[in-house]
Amino acid sequence: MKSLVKWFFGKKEAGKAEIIGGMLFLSFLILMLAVHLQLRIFYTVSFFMEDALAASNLASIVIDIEEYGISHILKISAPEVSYEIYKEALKMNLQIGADWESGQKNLISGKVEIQQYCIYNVLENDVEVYYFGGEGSGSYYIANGLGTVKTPDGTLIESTSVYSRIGFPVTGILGVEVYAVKENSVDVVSNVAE
Amino acid sequence: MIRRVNSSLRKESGSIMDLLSVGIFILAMSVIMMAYLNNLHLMQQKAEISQLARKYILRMETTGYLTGSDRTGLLQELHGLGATQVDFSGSTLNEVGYGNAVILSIQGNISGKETITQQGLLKVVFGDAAYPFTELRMSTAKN
Repeated sequence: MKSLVKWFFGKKEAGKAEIIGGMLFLSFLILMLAVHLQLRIFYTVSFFMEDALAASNLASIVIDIEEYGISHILKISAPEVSYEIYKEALKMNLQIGADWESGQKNLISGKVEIQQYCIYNVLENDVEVYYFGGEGSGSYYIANGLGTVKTPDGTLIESTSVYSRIGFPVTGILGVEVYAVKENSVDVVSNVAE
Repeated sequence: MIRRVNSSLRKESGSIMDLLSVGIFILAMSVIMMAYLNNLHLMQQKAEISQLARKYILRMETTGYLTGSDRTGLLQELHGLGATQVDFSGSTLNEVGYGNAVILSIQGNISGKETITQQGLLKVVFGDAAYPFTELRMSTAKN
């Protein structure tokens, strides 16, 4: 170690200092470009996931046309069917297999998990909520909930909406695995909520 | 006169080595920068193709399928982005009813540069390469 330090900081022969300096600069350049490329990949993955999530939410909105014809209420009357459509759409939009694993491990390095999927049916002033996902499934009814009920990402329910949240591992710089979470709300009337 | 020419041609010891090392570093830097810019360009192209797919799946939601005019438009836009050998097999090409699945599947190649090193760093070639891509989008018809 002592000899290595002496060699590194010691007096160099003519030309060697330039070589060492050049190698250090080259290593630094490679590191900087690798970090920038990795950050760019993170940004791309983030954008790709948000896009796929919004598209899958939108795909799962299947309004009861008959109900709309009678009462002019936009209602998702088959929540289970919508959840199945959502799962299929998510798998296809994320290009993952039936085992919920991505073939491209440099983007999503493990299993994609649906943490929550909620349907908010607005029935005049009331809100009917159906939920699926990691915490099980069920439903509840909020009387006069219109204008007060919010999705977990803070979007105010103004018309029938769908909310979903997914989690997935991403391998980052130097192989460090990060667990990422993405959520999105889609409104039937105004579509994707930011 | 001959002596003067000889003295001017004589180099200081080590100057060729210095020049060679600088040359090697410049070459290595160029290779790294070219590879980096090529990767960045490919990522940009893929992102633009994804945006295009998003635009057309929204249209498919309205129409219930990928119409002939949309197919032509999409193909032209993909060619404009540098995509080749584009194939839409697997896409919904016939109209489906409300609530049914509509799928947009785009397969093709995007062109880029490939770094080929031969004999170490002494011979570096940037050759043309085609990178295959698949873009899948699924939604439901809202027609």
